[in-house]
Amino acid sequence: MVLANASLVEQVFQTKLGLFNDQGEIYYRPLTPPVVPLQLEGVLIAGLTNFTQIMPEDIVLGRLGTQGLIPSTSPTNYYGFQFSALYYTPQELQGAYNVTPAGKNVTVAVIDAYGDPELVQDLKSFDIQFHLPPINLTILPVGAYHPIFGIFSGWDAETALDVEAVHTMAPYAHVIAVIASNPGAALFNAVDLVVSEDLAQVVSMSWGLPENVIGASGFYAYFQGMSTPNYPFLDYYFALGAAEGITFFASSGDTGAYDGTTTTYGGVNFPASSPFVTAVGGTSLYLNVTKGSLENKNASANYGFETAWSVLPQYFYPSVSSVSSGGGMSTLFPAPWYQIKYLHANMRELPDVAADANPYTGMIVYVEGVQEVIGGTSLASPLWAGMIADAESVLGHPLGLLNPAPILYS
Amino acid sequence: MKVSLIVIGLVIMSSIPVIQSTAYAQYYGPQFQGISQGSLPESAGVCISVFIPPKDMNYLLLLAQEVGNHQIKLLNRTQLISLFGNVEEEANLVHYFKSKGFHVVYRVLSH
Repeated sequence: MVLANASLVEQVFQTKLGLFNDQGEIYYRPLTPPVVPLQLEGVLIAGLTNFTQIMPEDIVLGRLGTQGLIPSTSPTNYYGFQFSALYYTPQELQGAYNVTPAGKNVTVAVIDAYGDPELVQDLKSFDIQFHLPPINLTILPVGAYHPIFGIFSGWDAETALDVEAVHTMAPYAHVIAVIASNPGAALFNAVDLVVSEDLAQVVSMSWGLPENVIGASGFYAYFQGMSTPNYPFLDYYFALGAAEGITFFASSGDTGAYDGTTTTYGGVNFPASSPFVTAVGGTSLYLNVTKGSLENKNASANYGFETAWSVLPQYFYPSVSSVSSGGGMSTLFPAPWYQIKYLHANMRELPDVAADANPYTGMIVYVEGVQEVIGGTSLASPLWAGMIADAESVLGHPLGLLNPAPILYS
Repeated sequence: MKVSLIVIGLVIMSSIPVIQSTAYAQYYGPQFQGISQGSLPESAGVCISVFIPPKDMNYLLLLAQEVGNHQIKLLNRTQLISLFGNVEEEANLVHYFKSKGFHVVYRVLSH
């Protein structure tokens, strides 16, 4: 990654960079087609625009006040006059998934953009409130670090959720919050850094880009003179990471079978669709409370039952898709070797695993000093990352790519 | 006759695009929308990401599959760089960007 002021970038790529406002989102882009210098032959360049279609996959249901749960007002997601929800503490989630808190000697990287300016304080509050051991947290910015942008874009909640969910499941693991400088190509830079430096054994990515818009995103490339249209250019980093023994998790998305895009065929998220990533879908989780109460946040509980996170009638989403777990068939990746035999699939199918994601059965998270109830497959992915960190801690070696036999598809 | 041949030649040649000596690739960007807000301030910082593809993609996919199947041991960072890292390419790129006045935020293959 390199950094320069705009005038130097304009000079090298022989273009001008202009600012644009697209429905309130301010971004820059080239005003004329840039000229790629000859010296950059054979490499992939990104960053001439910071426009992005990558979204964090979290849904903030509301915040917890003295009066109980106050529904989120922005965006306005609620129909009707009734509102009720369940929300879980770390101990309740540990009980539900039968987790023995562990994670020692394992490092989990969560990759997010912008970050949360209050992340350290939020984790302190989270640990005190829920009687967890102090987190071993490292914040690793990749490039420019402006966590204030996290507040404006919602990535602050995403970052806090990811770190707190991993810490919930693996309280003794070392967590690295790898913070990209923007929610576009810089996220892939962060993946590149984790893989190239072998920074972690487990990686959680609670964000994604619908495959259906990859062709319009700029994320496709020429490789060794051959065009690879609509092919996500960064997949080779997941292959490198898999060879290194890194377990990658990615959220399958929160907008159902069409992934928020206008299509009749269906759609899935990248990087969840990568064959070298374990895609995490969503469930609605219900507990069997044995002592205390969920309302008072002091329940002892174990697993009740789980259903696939599907549409809730009181939940409205002003788009072409419903609010439910993402999943389906990839249009980019053929079925990997581990799926062909068992699913008789032609294309990569996802998700591979699932965990709690319904915001109406969400987790209590500290964000900017406030308790919020958050769900989405953004919750499911770090929950899985934490559970695998526990397993690796006990086993004493990394598990690597989970998908092939004998772990998942067998 | 000669004049007409020259004219025909010029007409045919005019349809051939001019090849720029400094450009080798076409730029593909996102499909943009939005209302112009003016120029990006000249002093604004712009991060450019440079990704160098691995040296042997087919071998990488094979190894990743074999590691995933527990047929071979995990590869360490040194082995990965040795097999797939294009160290010379990275050094050339770092030299190029530095010579142009860019600040190199990080490099991964050689420190």
